[in-house]
Amino acid sequence: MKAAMVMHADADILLQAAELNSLLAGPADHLDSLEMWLLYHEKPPENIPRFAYPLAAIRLLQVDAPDVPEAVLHVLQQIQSNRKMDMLLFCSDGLGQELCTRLAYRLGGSSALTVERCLVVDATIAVERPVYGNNLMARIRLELRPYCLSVAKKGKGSPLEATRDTAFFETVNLPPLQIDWLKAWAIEVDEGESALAAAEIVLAVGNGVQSRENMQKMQVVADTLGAEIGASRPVVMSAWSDMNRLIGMSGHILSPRICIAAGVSGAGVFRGGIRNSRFLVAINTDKQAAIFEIADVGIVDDLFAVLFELESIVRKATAQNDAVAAQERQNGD
Amino acid sequence: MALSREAIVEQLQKIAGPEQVITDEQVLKENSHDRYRKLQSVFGIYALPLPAAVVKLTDVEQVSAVLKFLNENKINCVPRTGGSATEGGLETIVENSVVLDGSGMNRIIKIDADNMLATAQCGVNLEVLENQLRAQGFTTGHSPQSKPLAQMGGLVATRSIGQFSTLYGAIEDMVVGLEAVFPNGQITRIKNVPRRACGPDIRHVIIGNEGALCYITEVTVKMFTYQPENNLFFGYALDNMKTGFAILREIMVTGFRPSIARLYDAEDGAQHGFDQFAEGKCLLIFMTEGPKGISRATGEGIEEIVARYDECRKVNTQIIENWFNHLNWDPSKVQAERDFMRKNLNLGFTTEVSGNWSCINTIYENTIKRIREEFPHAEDLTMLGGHSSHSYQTGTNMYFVYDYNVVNCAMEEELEKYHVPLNAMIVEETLKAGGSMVHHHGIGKYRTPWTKEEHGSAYYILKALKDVFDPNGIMNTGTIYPLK
Amino acid sequence: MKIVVCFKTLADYPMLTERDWRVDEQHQVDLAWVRQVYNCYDESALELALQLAHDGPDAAACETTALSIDDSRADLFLRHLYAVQYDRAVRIDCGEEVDLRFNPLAVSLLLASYIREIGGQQLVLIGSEGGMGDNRQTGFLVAERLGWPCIREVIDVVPEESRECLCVTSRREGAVLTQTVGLPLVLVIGNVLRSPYLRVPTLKEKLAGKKKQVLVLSPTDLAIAPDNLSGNDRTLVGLFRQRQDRQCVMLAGENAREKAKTLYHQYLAERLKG
Ligand SMILES: Cc1cc2nc3c(=O)[nH]c(=O)nc-3n(C[C@H](O)[C@H](O)[C@H](O)COP(=O)(O)OP(=O)(O)OC[C@H]3O[C@@H](n4cnc5c(N)ncnc54)[C@H](O)[C@@H]3O)c2cc1C
Ligand SMILES: Cc1cc2nc3c(=O)[nH]c(=O)nc-3n(C[C@H](O)[C@H](O)[C@H](O)COP(=O)(O)OP(=O)(O)OC[C@H]3O[C@@H](n4cnc5c(N)ncnc54)[C@H](O)[C@@H]3O)c2cc1C
Repeated sequence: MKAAMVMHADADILLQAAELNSLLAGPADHLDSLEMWLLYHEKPPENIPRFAYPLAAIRLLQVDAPDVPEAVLHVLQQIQSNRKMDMLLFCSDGLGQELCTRLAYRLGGSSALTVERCLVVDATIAVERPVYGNNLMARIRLELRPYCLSVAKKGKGSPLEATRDTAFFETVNLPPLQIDWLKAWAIEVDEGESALAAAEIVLAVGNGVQSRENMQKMQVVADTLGAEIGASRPVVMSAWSDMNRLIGMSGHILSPRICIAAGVSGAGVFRGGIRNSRFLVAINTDKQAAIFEIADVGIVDDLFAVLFELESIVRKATAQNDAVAAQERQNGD
Repeated sequence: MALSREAIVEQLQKIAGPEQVITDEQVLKENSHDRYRKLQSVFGIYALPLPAAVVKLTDVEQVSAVLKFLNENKINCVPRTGGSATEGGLETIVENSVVLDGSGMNRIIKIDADNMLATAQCGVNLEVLENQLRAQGFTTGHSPQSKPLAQMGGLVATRSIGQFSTLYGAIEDMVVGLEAVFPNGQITRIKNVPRRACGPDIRHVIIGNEGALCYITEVTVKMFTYQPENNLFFGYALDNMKTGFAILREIMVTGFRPSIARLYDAEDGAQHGFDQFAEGKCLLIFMTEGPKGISRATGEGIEEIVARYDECRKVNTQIIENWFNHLNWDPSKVQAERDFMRKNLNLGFTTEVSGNWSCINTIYENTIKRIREEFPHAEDLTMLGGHSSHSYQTGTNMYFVYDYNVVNCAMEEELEKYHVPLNAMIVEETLKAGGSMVHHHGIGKYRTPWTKEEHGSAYYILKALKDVFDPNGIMNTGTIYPLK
Repeated sequence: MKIVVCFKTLADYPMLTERDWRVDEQHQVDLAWVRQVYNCYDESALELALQLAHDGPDAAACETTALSIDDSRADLFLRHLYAVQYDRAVRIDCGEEVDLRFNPLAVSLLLASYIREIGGQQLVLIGSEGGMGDNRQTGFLVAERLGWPCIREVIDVVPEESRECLCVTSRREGAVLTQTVGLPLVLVIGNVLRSPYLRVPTLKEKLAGKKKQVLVLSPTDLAIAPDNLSGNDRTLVGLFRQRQDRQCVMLAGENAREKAKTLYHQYLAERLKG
């Protein structure tokens, strides 16, 4: 089977690579060749991820309107008509999902998004992906080639190592598509996204926080803990927190070292976003709350009472450590 | 001469300690109102005089000292615990009022499994108490929708009632003994005994006083055995409220005591999604509980009675059970409501009344008809309906629910334009038919124009209580008793 | 401008408890007793379309259609949409035999056929996710089938000044994109902060809505043979509940302070150091 990974240089390709890499575990033994198709806008990336599987080729594809999927699809269609892959793997982000779906349609192949696992069963491809609001997992057999998969978000994980070995880069030049429906566009960068995605400690706050003012108090707690704030949908929809803080199937999928989920009920769609935390604490006044089902440690109590107390303990401990450290430094002099 | 705002704060700080006296403006704003003004508060409008201070109460002696000071200086106070009041009972309508916040007195004092008595301070949240009891196999039997919000003091002060009242009764059936402080600083304790005939039952001076006579500091309630494994659910769709009332009556007078006995009209049922299972129908809901045999027998009795009414069609019990498991209002629901109000300028209120079996259907029909025909802004109503949720041997209650879009009116005028006239129509129709104008939220500050009519010649007794216990009129002025 | 919003109601999942998630031999879950709600993305889309159509200056020239593929349980919602002033409410009923849960190809075929053959709309709004299959592909596929451009993760849309075009705001990884675009167009709606909830109809509007007829169409009305619907690029072979492998330890304690202490000393102190 011949496979290609479609990646785009605008986003962090080492993280994309880590996600795609995890998907390859299933079909690895059945791959005759694996290549990377790297989309870029102005200049090609310098760092290329080092995969666990040998890459047969890295093809650089320039697109002049990266925010217009139609333009990207046009390019991908042309290269696939030359390369004839059996399987195409796409990133987990919105662009990856859109390209995966639309390209599969154009090529007459099969597609599936948010794929958590890819298996080869009796020479056919099957995938596992969350359904029913992340309350159930479905196993789905893909019937038509090329199999187009967009991987599920995995959270930060560990990015693949980079190599600068650009020896077998091949630049593919293709005629661009004329876009007449787009009259004007502007893009504004929105900071903060990466801070949460990369956080080792996350304070995930739900509707139980009750107000924008309380949310500000949570920020103080988070600062003391060295945590980044994430939020459930009701919290971002009430504008108590920025949209780029949203956790869950429609937002961030995280896997921090510690996650404290406070005042979230634990809907399936939300849980998907923090399930892979290495240590998960849940605080909720309702002992029946579904969030406890995925927690390592649970506290049935008022989130403010618990977190303010925790904040003061941590603040004191930090001050003490600093004092001890200062003392040691002095002694050492 | 009246004390200045600063002097009041200074004196209170001396009596209660500086940390206990809060003057932060945001806190004062939030303590100047209750859910009666929920829309205004969403938009940050606080039209009432801000209190001089909020005093965080700590113990009964301190309460006594604070009240004595307020009484001597004729300073109005507003008792407060959970803050879930809906009828303006928490509004500070007098300049320089002092809010007495008992939510910090939140110790569960004793769970006496031998005598089945649970004693708690006024600031104990009902859900906290209930969860502790359940963990030991008991229950208070009290389950108002506001269970996650309300606290023992407020629950007793408003004569609250829970969803299982048909079996366990309302708060007045549950309270055994109490501790309360009167304006002159007098601390009174009523002892915990099963029953007595030692003069009138003085508990009833305290229960339901809405902070207008005394401050409740401690409450002892009955405990019951918690055996939810025996709960059974029943639901029936039917065409007419009248039939529904007749069935409720028959079940009650035959002698069955389900814990839940509810009758929704089609409009109100739709709010709970019942229209998805029985479109355009009224809905009867029952839950039976208690020892297995009793629960089962009660269920069988209900089924037998309902079977005699051709109009009724059984509804999947899973639907009912699911409804039941998601009925209560926790702080996040209040939050969701605020967000919705802000974005859609749509909100709802309720008015709860009661009547004997002979007049309850008249109250229901006349009220709905009158609102439809006479309410000048009926075109802004987005929902109008109601349900009966607490039945007795002699009658039942009716809980009217109405929502409206706020159209072409300033936020400050919303209540006058909508809730006030709607509430008035319901009260008037109820009194006209011979019912009672308040079933369980308390009179608060907005149904006082009808207090005298409600009580008739017995208003003499009600008034005497105020004259004797609060002669200076410092207890929650304008509540229960109309402003002069 | 003619606008169509494609929506699908879904069971209110947070109402379900662990024991309610039982999958039968046919890979079905019984949710018939669970209350249906608007999918929140579709709800935003439905309100956004109303605002686009009714709150602009040429409201009279706009026509709004709400379209759902569902059984008759959706009629309640469609009549509710009449009540909030949708001009048309259309339901495509494929009968019980057709399982569309994991078949976005068939769903998009039905929707696109309606739009092309009957509706004649130039603007399609559709929620970005939801539905039992959580496929997230329907909007993209409708665009492909119609051959129209598509914008994903849309958070706002307003008419551009000249009224010839629309001004569409959408989210990108770490950025917000604003595009001025012509019609026809498919918009896949994401988290709309401005109008997350559908407006509330008045009693009068509800009553009027109840009297209106939902237009019910079958695949044959759309010139689609049943065979065309059963064709799929994928087959569901398993549906299961994932086991939760964590055992939650509930921290005991007199009060929040004690619980916080236990949490810190027994569980967090070391872990916070990294
Ligand atoms: C297609 C679709 C996709 C969705 N995607 C997402 C998504 O990606 N992310 C997401 O978050 N949601 C998503 N949702 C919404 C989701 O279904 C839930 O509505 C949402 O996750 C609930 O958020 P919550 O837990 O914060 O709020 P709630 O469900 O309101 O829960 C609040 C919790 O706080 C507790 N609480 C209240 N007060 C306190 C207190 N003082 N102390 C402690 N606890 C307290 C309560 O007991 C309750 O459990 C999606 C929905 C749909 C239909
Ligand atoms: C969502 C919601 C659902 C509700 N459901 C129900 C229901 O099912 N059944 C029901 O009966 N009610 C219900 N209510 C009304 C309300 O919850 C009750 O009236 C409750 O008893 C109030 O308790 P609280 O602790 O919140 O009191 P608060 O709101 O703090 O005070 C209520 C009244 O009691 C007085 N008061 C408070 N504490 C004391 C005290 N220690 N001593 C003397 N007076 C005091 C106050 O001055 C005020 O007049 C509901 C309210 C809401 C918001």
